[in-house]
Amino acid sequence: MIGIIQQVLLELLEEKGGEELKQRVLKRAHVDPSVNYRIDKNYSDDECLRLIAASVEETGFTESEVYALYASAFLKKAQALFPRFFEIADDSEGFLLRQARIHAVMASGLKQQEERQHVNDKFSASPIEPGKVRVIYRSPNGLCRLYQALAFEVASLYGDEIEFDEPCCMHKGAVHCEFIITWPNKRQEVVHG
Amino acid sequence: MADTHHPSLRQVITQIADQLCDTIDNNFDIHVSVDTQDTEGQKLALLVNFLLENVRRSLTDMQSLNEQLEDKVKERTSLLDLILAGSNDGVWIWDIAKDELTLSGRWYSMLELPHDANTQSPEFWYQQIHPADRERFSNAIRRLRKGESEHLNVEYRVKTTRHGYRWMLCRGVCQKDNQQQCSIVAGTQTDISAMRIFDQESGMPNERYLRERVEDALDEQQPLFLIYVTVENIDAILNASEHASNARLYPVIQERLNQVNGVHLVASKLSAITFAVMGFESELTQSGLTIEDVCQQIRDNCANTHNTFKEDARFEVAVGAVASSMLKVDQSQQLINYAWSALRRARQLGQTCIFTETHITQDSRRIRVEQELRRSLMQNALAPDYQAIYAGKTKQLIGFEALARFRHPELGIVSPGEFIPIAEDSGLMRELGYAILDRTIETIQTWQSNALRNHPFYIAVNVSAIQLEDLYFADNVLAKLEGAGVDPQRLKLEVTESTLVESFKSAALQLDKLRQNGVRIALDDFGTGYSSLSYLRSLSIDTLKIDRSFVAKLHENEQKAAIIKTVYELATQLKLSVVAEGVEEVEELNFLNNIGDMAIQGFLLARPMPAEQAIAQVSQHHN
Repeated sequence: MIGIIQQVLLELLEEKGGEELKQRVLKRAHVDPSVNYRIDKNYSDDECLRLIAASVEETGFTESEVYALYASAFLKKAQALFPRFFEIADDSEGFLLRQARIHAVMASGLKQQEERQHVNDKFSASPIEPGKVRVIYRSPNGLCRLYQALAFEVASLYGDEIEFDEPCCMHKGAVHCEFIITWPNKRQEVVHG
Repeated sequence: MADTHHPSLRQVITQIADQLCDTIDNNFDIHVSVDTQDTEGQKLALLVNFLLENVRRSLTDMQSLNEQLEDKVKERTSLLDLILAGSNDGVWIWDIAKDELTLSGRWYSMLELPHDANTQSPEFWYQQIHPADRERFSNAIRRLRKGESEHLNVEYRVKTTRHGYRWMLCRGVCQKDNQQQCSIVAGTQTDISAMRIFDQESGMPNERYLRERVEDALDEQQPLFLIYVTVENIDAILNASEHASNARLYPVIQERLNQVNGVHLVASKLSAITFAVMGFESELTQSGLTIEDVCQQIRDNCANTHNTFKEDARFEVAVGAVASSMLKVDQSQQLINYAWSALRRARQLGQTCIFTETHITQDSRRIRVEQELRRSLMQNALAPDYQAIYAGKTKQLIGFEALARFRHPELGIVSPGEFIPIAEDSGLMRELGYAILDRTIETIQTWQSNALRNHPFYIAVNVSAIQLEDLYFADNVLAKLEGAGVDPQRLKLEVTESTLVESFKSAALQLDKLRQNGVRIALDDFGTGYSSLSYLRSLSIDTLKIDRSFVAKLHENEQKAAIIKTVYELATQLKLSVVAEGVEEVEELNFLNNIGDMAIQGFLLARPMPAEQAIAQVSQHHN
């Protein structure tokens, strides 16, 4: 997993509970306490998942609460690093349609072709019709809840309202997760002209 | 300030720039890495890597697209090759700007040429075309290039290495440049020889092929010979075989005509029964053969019963031949005419005829006679002679026979023996028959109101088979008689057995109709055929004319006398009048008079002569 994921998580922990919370989480996740995650490098998926699980346990928040906080922090970080990506998109639909490619930008930092391919293949987004997007997520990490939190946070950032549906999910035995994201206001505009 | 562990952003940029220098060799498969904890530095490296990744992807996509296009081109080319192979056509591409011609392998093989050059000049193509067809080809190309025609579609002959000229159909289109000028012309070349120069039924070369080969040989001053062969009994052979068909018979004939050792012969089919064999005199010299030897070999081959449908069936052939070196021939048609003439003579004579200078003289006389006969018919200038016919015992005039005569101021008197066969060959018999009939009716009209006003008489006219084939013959004759105010009884039509043989049924119908309307009918040359008696039963006639061969010296020949007596008795029984032809001696007349009452025609009593002389002679005879 690209280092920016872990970097944002550690920064969030430090912000919410100081260095002490961060170290507790690192310890619980069996991660080197002096770790310094780079945004242009790939790290062990398992290590990242251990950090997330440890964060839930150490903070006492639910998984959804952690994801919501994380999503907010991640977008702030991304916006600071790559403000142009957010300017290019007119709205959250435009941003989420580009999300797969933005994810690929992150993967570009990876040295090995196999690693880049692995990250690139995780997401694909395609428009079904105006105001309706299908996202396919293929990752053995199964972080579909995190994606959902990020989607809502993106919508919030642009002042949009979305509906999120997951007709199939790897946690329920599917080969991939499928998200149907709908912008009800846009849909109404389309329907009523 | 940067230290060795934490390079400045400037050093980061330099690191990235140095690594990007590797792309100078179009190598985009590089990964930019920076040794910095500075997130902005990492971000820059990340975006550069993204850019490189996109370049790699685009190149990969382009390569993939290129491969797909190449595959598509290969697929389409292979499909096009298959279609072209299926069509068996040659392909040509003419680059106008480079003045360069690209020709497919098939194009070369169609001309039996080696495919040893990638490109050719247009002149190369032009040189392969028959000289007589080059202008047509050039004009077609020029029209296409000028835009006067949308498609090229031109036929021409090309010379092949081994098989002479073959007919090609060339089709093409023009590709225009931005200035609407023709830049490339491309198309196909199809061998259409099978349609143009081969007989569809037999697969043998046809008359057109023969004519072209003769033209080429004469143009190239190569002495050649033609042997024309008519297989007289094709129908009989086919009829005698249960499963025979022309399609199976022609290859056998072709084989017979082509097989002469030491000489390469090409046999063409001219009609259902007539074939032409062409060869070069140089080969005769090399193999020590004469044209007579080749004719004889062909005759021997045709007499061979092997592989005919019926084991004992032989091809009965007439063979006429001509060699160009023996005559001054410079036109193909002339040589072909001579070959036909030789064949005609061979059929008449029943033996091989080699055409010579003597035949040219005879032929020129024949052609002149035909021309003048045609002219005389058009100018209504033919007048028959009339030979009076008298009663043998009383010497009373009974009638005349109108005999076709051709008198010409330059040719002199042309005998019927010469001009009748010419009229038959040149399709003039119908016109000749009507011309004689018309003049006869005019003569009857004149005589019945003048010299023979109070005398019963008839004039007999010979009728040919072709006249009797005309369904309106009887109507025409009756209309002419009515138009001239001539009593039909004054006209007697003479038919021979050979006239009737050709189409007895239609002839009998016409003669019946005429007889019912008063025209009298005579059976001429009675006794010379095989079935004269059967005609007496099935044909209603008035008169029997005993052939001159029975009359000549009948008083010295008991058999002839017996035959004439029998014929006379038969005629009497059948209530038919009898005319004895060719009576030239008093003894013959007396003998005939002793047999019974019959009419006499012959030099003894009257010679054939023009109308005015004939009627004057009759008056003299009476006086």
